Amino acid sequence: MLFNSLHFLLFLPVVLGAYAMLRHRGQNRMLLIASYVFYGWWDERFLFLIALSTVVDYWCGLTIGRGRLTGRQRLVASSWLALSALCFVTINWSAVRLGGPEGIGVDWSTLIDPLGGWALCGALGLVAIANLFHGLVSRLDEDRRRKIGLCTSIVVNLTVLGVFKYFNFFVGSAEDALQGLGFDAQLLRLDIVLPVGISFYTFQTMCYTIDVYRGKLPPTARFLDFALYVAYFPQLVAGPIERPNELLPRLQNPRHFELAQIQRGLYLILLGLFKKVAIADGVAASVYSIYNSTGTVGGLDVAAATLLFCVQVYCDFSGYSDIARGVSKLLGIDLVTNFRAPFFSRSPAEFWQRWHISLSTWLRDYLFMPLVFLDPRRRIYLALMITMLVGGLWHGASWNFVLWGGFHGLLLVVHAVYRDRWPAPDPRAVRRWRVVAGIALFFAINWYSFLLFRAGSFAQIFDFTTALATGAGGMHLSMKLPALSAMLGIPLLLGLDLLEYATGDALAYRRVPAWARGALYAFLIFVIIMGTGNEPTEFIYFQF
Amino acid sequence: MNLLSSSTSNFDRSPPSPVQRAVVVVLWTLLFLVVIDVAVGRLFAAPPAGVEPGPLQRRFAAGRSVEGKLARMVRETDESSAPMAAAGWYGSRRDQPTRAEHPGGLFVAAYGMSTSFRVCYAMQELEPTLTLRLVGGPNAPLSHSYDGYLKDRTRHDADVVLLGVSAWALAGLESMTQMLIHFDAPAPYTYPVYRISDGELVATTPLVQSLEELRRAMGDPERWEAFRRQLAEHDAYYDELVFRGGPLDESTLVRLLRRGWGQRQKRRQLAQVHDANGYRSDSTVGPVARAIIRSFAETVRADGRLPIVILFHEKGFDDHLYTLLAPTLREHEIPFLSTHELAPASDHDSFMPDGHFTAEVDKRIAREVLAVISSAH
Amino acid sequence: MTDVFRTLFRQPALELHDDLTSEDVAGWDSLKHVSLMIHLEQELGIKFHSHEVVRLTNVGELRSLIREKFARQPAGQA
Repeated sequence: MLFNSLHFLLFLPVVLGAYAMLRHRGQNRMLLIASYVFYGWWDERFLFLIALSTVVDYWCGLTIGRGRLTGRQRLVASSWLALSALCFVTINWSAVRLGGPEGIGVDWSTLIDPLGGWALCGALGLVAIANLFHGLVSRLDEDRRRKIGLCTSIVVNLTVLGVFKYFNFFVGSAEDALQGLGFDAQLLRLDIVLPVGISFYTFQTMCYTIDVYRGKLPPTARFLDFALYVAYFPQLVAGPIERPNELLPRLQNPRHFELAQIQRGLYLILLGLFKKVAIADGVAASVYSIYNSTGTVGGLDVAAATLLFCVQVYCDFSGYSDIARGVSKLLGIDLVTNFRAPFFSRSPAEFWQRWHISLSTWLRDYLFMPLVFLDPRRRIYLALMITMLVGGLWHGASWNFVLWGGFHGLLLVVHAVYRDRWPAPDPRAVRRWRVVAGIALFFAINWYSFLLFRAGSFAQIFDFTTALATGAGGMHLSMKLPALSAMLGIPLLLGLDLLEYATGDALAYRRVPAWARGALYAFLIFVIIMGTGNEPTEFIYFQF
Repeated sequence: MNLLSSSTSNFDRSPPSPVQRAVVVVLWTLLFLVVIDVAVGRLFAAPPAGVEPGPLQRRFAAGRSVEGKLARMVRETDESSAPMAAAGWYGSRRDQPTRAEHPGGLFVAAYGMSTSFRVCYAMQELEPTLTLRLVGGPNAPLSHSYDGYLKDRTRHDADVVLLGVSAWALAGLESMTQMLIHFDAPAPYTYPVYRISDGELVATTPLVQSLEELRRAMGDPERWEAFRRQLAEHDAYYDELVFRGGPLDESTLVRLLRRGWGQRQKRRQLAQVHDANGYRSDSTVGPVARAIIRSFAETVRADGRLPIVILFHEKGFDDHLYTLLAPTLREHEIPFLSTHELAPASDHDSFMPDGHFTAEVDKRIAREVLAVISSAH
Repeated sequence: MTDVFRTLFRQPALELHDDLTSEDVAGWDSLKHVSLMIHLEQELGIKFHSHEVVRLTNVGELRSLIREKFARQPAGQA
């Protein structure tokens, strides 16, 4: 289900209504069902992957932290996996038709999906193995038991991610490499659809087992709480990627309601819709008109389309985060801040403290740090480059994302070396014009990095870079103009971000008098309504 | 502090509670929404009849209901009505030649839309002795061109009959008028909707077939209701909220919302017909288009003329129309050409900002059409 | 330890106290944090694990982590 769809507009009040009527335990159960409905709306088969991640990490968490699971815990987890396989992949629900003369009609010949049958067998096999070896593993010494738990979790999660997201990419790259060596290779390709948001939830569940291993938090005993942590719908498909020690306690404990929280939640939803509907969808067609067409493209077109793409990605993704945080606030659950006026950064290091914060801190804690401290030679810059390359690849199974990650990795390394020689002056002593110049300079560099991010091929990167460098085409602009909602919205968003940057306070908008806030909200609503006529695109980050 | 909060502070001197403050902000928001609604409505009000509206005026009026738009477009006489209201009806292009104007020159009767007529003019430039008879409407789908051809068939003695098919407009086979499928800027002209019954092409003709009949229907609630019901039944793009007018048409915000809704409904319907991979095989558009092409070629040949079909691929349509229709065209040996080979639909150098092909591309296509004609003759 | 901080951040007047966090010192970002830990490793002859580094929130915790490390090692090495 998309946040900017009519379905969600109906879904949310139903969830909130039920939420208000239930007590804590009931709220959690209802939220879990709602989350499965929310995710299953795309394709119910994807739910099996969520269930698999949930069960494996729940089991591993307890194996690491406590050594064993109670019989009841094993029963619940095992049945969850088996039932998910049965309901979400084995039964082909399109064979069941409601209505008609008999009320419910079932096409028995297609009811069982053959591939889903294998998935069910696999799930049952997995459950059987886990239960068989449970006693054996629990009797191992602590160190080995903990390592088995950790490795199982990481291997399963990365396998799921690898098969569903990267398999075809690596096979394709291998074929290309073999062809380059003169072999005519035709390797196996999987005919699979990328499950929405898979990169987000595998990272989120994986850091749970790692944190339990690191002793940062106790394993979750209650299966449903953990299942909700994995599937919690506001941030399931595009983040923010939450840390277990932050989100789990909020789900495990009863929530309190305050007016301020609801106000903030509603504002965040409004702001997120404004970014997505009015701006991101309003400029998408302009970017598309340059990046998705063939023919000669001038430098001005490339510059303008890439600039608008920066706006599009930022609005699309931070808009999604805003709506996620807003919706979650209405449920009384805080999520982390994911963006803080990122385009006002003056250095690559600052950029990554302001852009997709939940991912950059994740990569720092779970990839960069282990890379540095597992390496006896402590090669920081090597670890940094690897982290950024993997971070790039996380965005999508394509070489241009690797290139993008590498570009940002290089920027970080160069900046760190530079700062080693010339340390940063005290921020209070920096003159204003230098701040502005720094922001402009880094933005210009970053601007180019988004060309790498959006490009469809190496040939396009080459052509567009050449067009930029030579200024081909002169002042001729053939790009489709952005929608009116975006032209009105971009200056306002710039103002709001500038306010946040200058005050260092995301809540600064609240300090203005009531009438000015009323004017702001009214204008946001007006531009969103205007933006409903824009062609809706899926949130860009869903595919990551 | 302000008007709204002063009323509460009269009762009690203590600072307002959070709830009171929230209510004040909500009231201000509502007040400003009304201000925006009225101000934008005033600033970008539609110009008086006969004056071309500006882009912003058009943008803010795009969500007016179909009934509201018709009431503004269609006036007592053809002269006082908007030019768009008169376009596309059969016979709206007057003074069309019925015989070749240059002795020995070629006479082409063309049915289609502006894209194909631009190619025809380019042909005339290349071949000055060419006589053209053009019948069509803005954005016209194949059904309109075919209907125009059938009506026009006996009224001229052209040597070649050219049918222009637009990939973009093909989804209009499920519509009866441009009022709904292009409700942003509607042209009210109508055309039959075709379906296939027992292998035969069956037409449902619209109850309104000329501007005069439309004017009469608009003045007669009973006729209007019958026409509306026909559209609701046969036009896949009919939507109650988009069609029906009323006092809410005067609100800018309602118009913007209606436009958003209308776009959404239209996109959903279009997605049933065409997606990124081409025309969907489960849509009726393909079979109907093929049947029309067959029937067109048969009748043209029965009249002893040469049929030619041009498949126009607009931006975003790759070679989809070609994939859909080329097998039929080949099977029946109908001379045709497809623009995707001459001007790829992904190449933005092929198109002008308004979506038409550039003059250079038009000429390229025209040359090709002339070559097809001379080789088939 | 104070010396390591002062040279690394190039702030000769920097005073350490238990509640000091990365927010309070200009230039203390995650990269600098890692270099700091590596410098401390070299100066004090100890080894950190990544999960120990990740968990730290202020100088006080860093001090007790180092104390813990010394307690586990034979005294002669320090």
